[in-house]
Amino acid sequence: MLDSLTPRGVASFSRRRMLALGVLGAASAALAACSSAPAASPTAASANAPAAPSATAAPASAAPTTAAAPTSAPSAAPTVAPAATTVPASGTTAQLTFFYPVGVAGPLSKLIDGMAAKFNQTQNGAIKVTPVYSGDYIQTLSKAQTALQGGKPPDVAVINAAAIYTLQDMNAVIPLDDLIKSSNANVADDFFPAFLANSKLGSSIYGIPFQRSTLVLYYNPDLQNKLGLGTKAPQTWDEVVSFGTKLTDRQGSTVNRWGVGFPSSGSSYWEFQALAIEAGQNVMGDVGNKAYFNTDASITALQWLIDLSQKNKIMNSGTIDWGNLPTDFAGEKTALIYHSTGSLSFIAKQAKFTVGVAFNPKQKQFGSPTGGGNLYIFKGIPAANQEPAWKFTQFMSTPETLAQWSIDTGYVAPRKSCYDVASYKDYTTKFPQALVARDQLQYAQNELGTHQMAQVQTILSNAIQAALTMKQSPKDALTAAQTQTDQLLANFKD
Amino acid sequence: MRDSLTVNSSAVPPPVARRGRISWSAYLYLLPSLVFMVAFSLWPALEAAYQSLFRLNLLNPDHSFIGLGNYIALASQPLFWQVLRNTFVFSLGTMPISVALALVFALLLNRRLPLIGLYRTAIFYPAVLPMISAAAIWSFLYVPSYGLIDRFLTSFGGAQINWLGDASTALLAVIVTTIWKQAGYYMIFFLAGLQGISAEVLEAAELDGANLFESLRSITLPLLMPTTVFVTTVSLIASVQAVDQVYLMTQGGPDNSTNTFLYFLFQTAFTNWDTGQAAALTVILLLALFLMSWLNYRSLDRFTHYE
Repeated sequence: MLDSLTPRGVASFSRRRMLALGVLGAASAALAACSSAPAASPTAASANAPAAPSATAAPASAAPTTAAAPTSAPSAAPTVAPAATTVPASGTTAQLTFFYPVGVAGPLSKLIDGMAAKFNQTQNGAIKVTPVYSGDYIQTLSKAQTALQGGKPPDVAVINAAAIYTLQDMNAVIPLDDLIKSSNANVADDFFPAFLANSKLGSSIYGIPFQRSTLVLYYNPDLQNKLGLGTKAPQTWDEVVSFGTKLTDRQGSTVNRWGVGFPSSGSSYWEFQALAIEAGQNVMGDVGNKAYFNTDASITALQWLIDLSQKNKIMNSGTIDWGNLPTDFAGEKTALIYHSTGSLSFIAKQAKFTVGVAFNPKQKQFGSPTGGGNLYIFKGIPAANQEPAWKFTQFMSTPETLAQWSIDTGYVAPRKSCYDVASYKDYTTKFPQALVARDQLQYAQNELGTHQMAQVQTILSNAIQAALTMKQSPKDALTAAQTQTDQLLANFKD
Repeated sequence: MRDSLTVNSSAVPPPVARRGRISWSAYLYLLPSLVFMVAFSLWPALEAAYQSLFRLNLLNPDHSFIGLGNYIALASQPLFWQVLRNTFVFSLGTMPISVALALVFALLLNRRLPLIGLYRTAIFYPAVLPMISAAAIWSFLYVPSYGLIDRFLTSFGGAQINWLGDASTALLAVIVTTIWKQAGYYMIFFLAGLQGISAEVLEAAELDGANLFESLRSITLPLLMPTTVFVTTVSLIASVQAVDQVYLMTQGGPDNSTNTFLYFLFQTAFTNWDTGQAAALTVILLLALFLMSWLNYRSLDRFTHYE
């Protein structure tokens, strides 16, 4: 039995050779397969080991697949070719790639595919846009920058508005002023100033606001009414605590419903900005080389957040997952949540109650960061693609398109003229919650978007988490973050 | 009838190169694999080593030579040491348990019972899932309050735990997910190894009066050592490669408590855009893996019984 598996000629495999082959095999396996499954099939090392049946090696090597995108969003399907049978006049089709992120709940990928398909149809084959779902904002930025490094940047991409300094440092995007002037697009007057503020560098516009958001408070009027709290949302930080205390449903040591849910997982810097602004000062100013982390406002805000779980016991301890909160709220597991307006449509569809939307409760003032993505046109794309790219950008940012996008997702319609579009007027009459974010815009301030944007954002997010998990006091955490950021931004002139 | 323990002397030995004559055919056969190995393993490693000696931040046009500057910068970052600690704890948590579980499963399932295939499939099944899917499933299980695990705990009067949001449980949660995913995969190797052990040897031991544990210790495990050596090396490397589950479940948090080596490398390369430091991290990883593989083979080698 044994002899048929180990023919004599191979049996003289020495120990040393086994060692050498094993180390080489293991090391090359480590290098070659940076994939989700353990290293590739054991052909090298098991040459003399008890024979591995080939059947088991096959499924093992077939199993490792490249890491897929987060499961919540469907993968982008290539757009369908235009149905028109007319031949494009020029004879060649401009092929555009369009990278876009999905950072909020909902089937946004399908909607984008539909919009791109519609655009392709109107172009009669002259332009073909292929939308590419690229993960969340950070992943999309990574993907676009990686493509840029590889010499094949996307033609158009939706990237965080806050990445504007970073994109300029990478020499990645083109200013849009000439294109805007030549097509008489009404940008400066029609888009809300709060959104244009970080779409500009100096006086040049680099991005067109597309899916912009603010942080809002979602509340449950019926539940509040039942508990004698009225049907209006809490307006101040103190009311959040008093409402939250009544709304928390505790049975022994089990909590059936938390009063408040404030997201703090992953990129927690964004929602924290709302609290800092409400306490008196934003973490971001008007320049790209300074951030304001260890201000009194930030320390007060962070302490209040910690107290919600530690002192007031109306919020779960530890970090709270951004992705879970809409479902928590819709399922009545959390009564008050802070979340992006972009989740509004998803929440409204899921909830079996009427969803209330309100300004973030104020302390010294109302406040919210702006968020979301702008449409950018990249440098380094073929010259022939630039006009088509601008055409596509314009299509995606007409008042009608933006109004429909807002209806489908809950993002704030970033143009004043959107609110006059007939379908949007109907929508806001039936669904006045959608207007809250726009009304809050007067209190909205810039998202944290300095140079080295992602790294600085991570520094603040880590500090917030360190304080929330009680590893450091708010003051220590924020001061350490400030020092680190100052060092990082020291080399940048503006 | 042939005594199956003696060697089949009529087997034809493979062609051996005569002294002084180069066996060109041997090298020709090796060439395709060599090409791939050089192109996809050796050259990138050397390129990374080269890049690690430069300041290569993609947001900064100054790309000057700084020698060991990147390594020093890394060593002076407290986060780097925390990442090493996390990775060490993660490896310590996943490797021995995955391998031990795999061995136990293999021993239990190495028999011909009617539904044995079903059991083997059920235990191997997680290995077929992409890690991202496994992470997504376990993220759902770990949801505080109404996730399945917390529901299960509270039904017995236990506390609701924010598994992925609490710095003290997050790493443990990721470790459990990884063990669940990997144990079945290693079980297959052990099953193969067990099936290569001649039944006659075990029968002989039984005839001599050895009980289960004695035959396990003296016969099965030593004969299984080549497989064990391989599996431990592979699982060690896999534990250092853990990044998918961290990315999906915790994004390195809370507060970098689940920030493992490869995730830190990803952050350095694609969030901070510091390619020089990322290259330095790659070199450190390579050296560490070489060292660990070598030590692993050396230390287990003394227990290995080669045919």
